[in-house]
Amino acid sequence: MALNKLKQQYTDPLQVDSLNVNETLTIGKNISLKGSVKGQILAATNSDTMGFVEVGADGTTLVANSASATGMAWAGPIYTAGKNVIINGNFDYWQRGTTFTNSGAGLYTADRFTSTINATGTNLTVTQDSSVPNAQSFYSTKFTQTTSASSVFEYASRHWVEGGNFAILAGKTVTLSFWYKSNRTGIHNARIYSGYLSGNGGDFRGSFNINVANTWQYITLSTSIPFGSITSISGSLTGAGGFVDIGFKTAPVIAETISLSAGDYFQISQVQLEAGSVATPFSRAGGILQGELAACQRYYYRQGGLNYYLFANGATNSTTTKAIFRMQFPVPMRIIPVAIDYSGPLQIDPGGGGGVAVSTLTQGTFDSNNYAASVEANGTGFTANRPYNLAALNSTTAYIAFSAEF
Amino acid sequence: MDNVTFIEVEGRDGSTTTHAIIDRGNGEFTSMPKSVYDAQKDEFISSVSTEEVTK
Repeated sequence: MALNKLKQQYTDPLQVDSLNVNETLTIGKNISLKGSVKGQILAATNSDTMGFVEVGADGTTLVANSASATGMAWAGPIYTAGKNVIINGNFDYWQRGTTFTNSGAGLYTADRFTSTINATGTNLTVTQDSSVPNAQSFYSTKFTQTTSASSVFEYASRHWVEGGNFAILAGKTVTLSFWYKSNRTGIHNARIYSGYLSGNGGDFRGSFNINVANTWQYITLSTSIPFGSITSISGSLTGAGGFVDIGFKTAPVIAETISLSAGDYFQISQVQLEAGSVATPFSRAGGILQGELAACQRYYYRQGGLNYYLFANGATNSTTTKAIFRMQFPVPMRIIPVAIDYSGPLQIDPGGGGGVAVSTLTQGTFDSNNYAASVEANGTGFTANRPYNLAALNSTTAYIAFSAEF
Repeated sequence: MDNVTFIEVEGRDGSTTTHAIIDRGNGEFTSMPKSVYDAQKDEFISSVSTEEVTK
């Protein structure tokens, strides 16, 4: 195509019989080879013809393709596990439930997502929502303020990132991308904080404008802060590296607050933080669902859901008040779990009936690690030195969970 | 506000550990060693203070 244009401009076609290596061809006239749009690439299509590789879509990659006239073609977007450091950014997994009322600061909702709230009068409900920006997601997460709130210094979804996962961004410009919807037009905030990494970690506080209420908007924020100046990391591999906040408001540098009205909400979907200055199409951190669930279970693992769900086999010790059970995790957890979440009624059952109610569960400190935990069921009226099952007592809502979250 | 009770649990080695049982108010409980509970409380207060400094 380009050569044809060239020939049209010159009645005597330019002809060079031979040109040796390191010899320079000088043409006494200006030759201009112009594309028609930004991003076209000129390439050989044959021994004496040229053609354009047309503009690729955002996030696609140029690959060799012998079937193409130019020998090249745009491929993708490539779906890459590990590109996105945000786990469960597509809100696929909700092990703790799908509705959380009065979720105060620090309480987890969707897997890996918690909140940071600093305001007066916050009555927050976090829910799984089926409104999504496109066909690549089943769910989004929705934060709704159910009453008015004042002096709102901070009000956002928070995602903690493990030190080793944040460290791969050290020294790089990063891009945070996500879909966002809110009834409130105007300025909303996002924040990337890497201050838990020693080695010059920093704090990026960005804002974005919501132009149209109740409409999904794609937001991208690229920044060399807080990772660009990090040259070495001496923090903990599995400790907290930092967090990403997105919402009505993140903690500002200068004191300022906003007010919220009852019913104000924001929703987020397809959250991604990646190296580079261009947002690429969303990928799950764990690639496929199996990988994403395993990544979530590294931090939190819950089981139950059947009337007589059998959690574990174990036995009482020499007392009538304690039975000990070993519970294996599906994947090694980040650290030895720091807490057990549970809901009853639970029982210890010798098999075939005769179960005895469990009053509390505690984690044995003697023989728990990040692969399995020793769980102690406490109660009264147990038979000493007897094998028992630890099970739900006719309840589909009974569960036992382990948390290795931040 | 969570309702927290503390219970003494005897370990296999005969030592006693205090655990915090946090009643979430809807039939859900969280159990953790009191030492972890205290550390998390301190950490939360510390993080709030740190962010206050940035105002």
